[in-house]
Amino acid sequence: MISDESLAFQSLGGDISAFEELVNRYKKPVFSIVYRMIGHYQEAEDITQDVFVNVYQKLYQFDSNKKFAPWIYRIATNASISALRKKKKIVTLDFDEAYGKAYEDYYTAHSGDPQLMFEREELKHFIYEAINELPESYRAVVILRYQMDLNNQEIAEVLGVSKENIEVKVHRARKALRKIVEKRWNERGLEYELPASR
Amino acid sequence: MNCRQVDKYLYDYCDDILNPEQRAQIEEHLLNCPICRRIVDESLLESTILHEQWEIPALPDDFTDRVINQIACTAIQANSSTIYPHSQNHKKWSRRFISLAAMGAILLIMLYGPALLKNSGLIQIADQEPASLKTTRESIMAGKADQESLKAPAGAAGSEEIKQETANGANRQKDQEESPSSPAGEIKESYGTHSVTISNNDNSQAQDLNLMKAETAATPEAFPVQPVNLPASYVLLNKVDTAGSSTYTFGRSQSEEQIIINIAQLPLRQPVTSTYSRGYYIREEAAPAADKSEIQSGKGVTSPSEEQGTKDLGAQPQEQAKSKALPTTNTISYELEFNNQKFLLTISAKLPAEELSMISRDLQLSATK
Repeated sequence: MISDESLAFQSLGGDISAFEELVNRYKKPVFSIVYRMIGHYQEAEDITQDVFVNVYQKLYQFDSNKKFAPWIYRIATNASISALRKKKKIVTLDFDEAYGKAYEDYYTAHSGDPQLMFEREELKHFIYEAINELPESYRAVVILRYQMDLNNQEIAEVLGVSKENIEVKVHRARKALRKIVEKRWNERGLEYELPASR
Repeated sequence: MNCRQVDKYLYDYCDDILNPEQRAQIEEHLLNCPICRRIVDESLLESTILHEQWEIPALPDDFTDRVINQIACTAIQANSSTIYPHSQNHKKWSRRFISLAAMGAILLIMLYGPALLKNSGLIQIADQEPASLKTTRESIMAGKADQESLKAPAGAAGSEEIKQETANGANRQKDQEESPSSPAGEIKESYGTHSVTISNNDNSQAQDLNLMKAETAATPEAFPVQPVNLPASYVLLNKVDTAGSSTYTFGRSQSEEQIIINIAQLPLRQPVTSTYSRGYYIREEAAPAADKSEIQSGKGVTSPSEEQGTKDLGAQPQEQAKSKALPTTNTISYELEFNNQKFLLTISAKLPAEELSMISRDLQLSATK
């Protein structure tokens, strides 16, 4: 199979079918990043489309000696962060229902200890919501690390910072996440005692 | 390992990216610290949930087609210079750049302004440069017999340095007119290492030729194309390369007739597909009746640089060839494409319009050797 980098090179030479192949390869991961960052389907779709147009226009900037994936993820992440900053206060209000639906479906599909399962899924819901309350840079780190399964070095390449910086950011993002979840948990009148620790 | 160190490596432990040695140290601590044990358990659960793949809705089936279509539309918009989203950013950056440039200019004036004022001679030369440039061009193009004396300010060593830096190609290097201290009938030019003194005499062509040679000597780069396929009776008298254009003077051996061809390189605005096309019109002006052999400076001839700036390149071809017999100066201006590059040709000659038109049709470009 022809490499992403070769396809990028061919696209730069005007081969539109090569770029079409790149779109097909990356539309899912790029949309995953954007949708997780934005949390709204239609907007995420529009941003994803813009990301690919942007990628096409900036292909001449791509260093073919480097990997294509971090480069396109970087453009996707930056586009998402820019979009979030434009509508910062609307994000949590404009949250897609699909987010909650995933956990509802999971809850109804799993039997076992109903109380424990409920609490676990409630925690999951809190965590998903908490991610969207994180500052954009922390949110990007969490999504790239846990949803895109990138290691710290790869995240560093995507975000254009050092690996050490990512290690610190992951730690701080997780701490911030814990704080938000704990607050939510306490607002429900529950002591923050996770199902796993009982 | 203490609680503080466990906290430092807490999430790396939960994500299982620690080396075995560090991992063993943490687990040893957890055996004896229930507080850390609880925190680690909670974090482990959070890590597990974070790693669970969220349900991501699928993109529409036609997503790829839409992207490709949008790219095609954007490319078309960019070519037709219409506004598209990115141009807004460009405008913002342009405004920022202009602001920064203005601030920089003010700073430079504040820093170097007093020093410049001390040497009023430099400012004088800078102010007079455009006027002398115009005079020179008119002189070259009209072929007038310039009897005025031109002379550089004596002993202006500082001004020579400045001129050498700013001229860069030396086509603008001319001095003040009618300098009271200069001996009549002499032109003195300074080009740093090139110094040319031209004695004024009645042969204006020789004077202009020397001026052109002096300019050519200081031109750093050769122009990429040259005109070919002129009638055999015309021989090249002179060639002057300037930045972005080149001027050729052809003459007939047994006649005073001259053809001046200026070729200016145009910016490539869009991909060129055809290889050779032209649209042209003829500018025809009568020479003053009182002087049939010479044309007064500033009349009857438009210099190529002015032509380039004023002509509408997309104008419909017009031919206004009317007179064959009158000794008029006609100018044809048109675009030619050569090696995917556009050039603006301006041909001036005291020839009937039809004849000039024929010459322009036969004229072609070739790469400079």
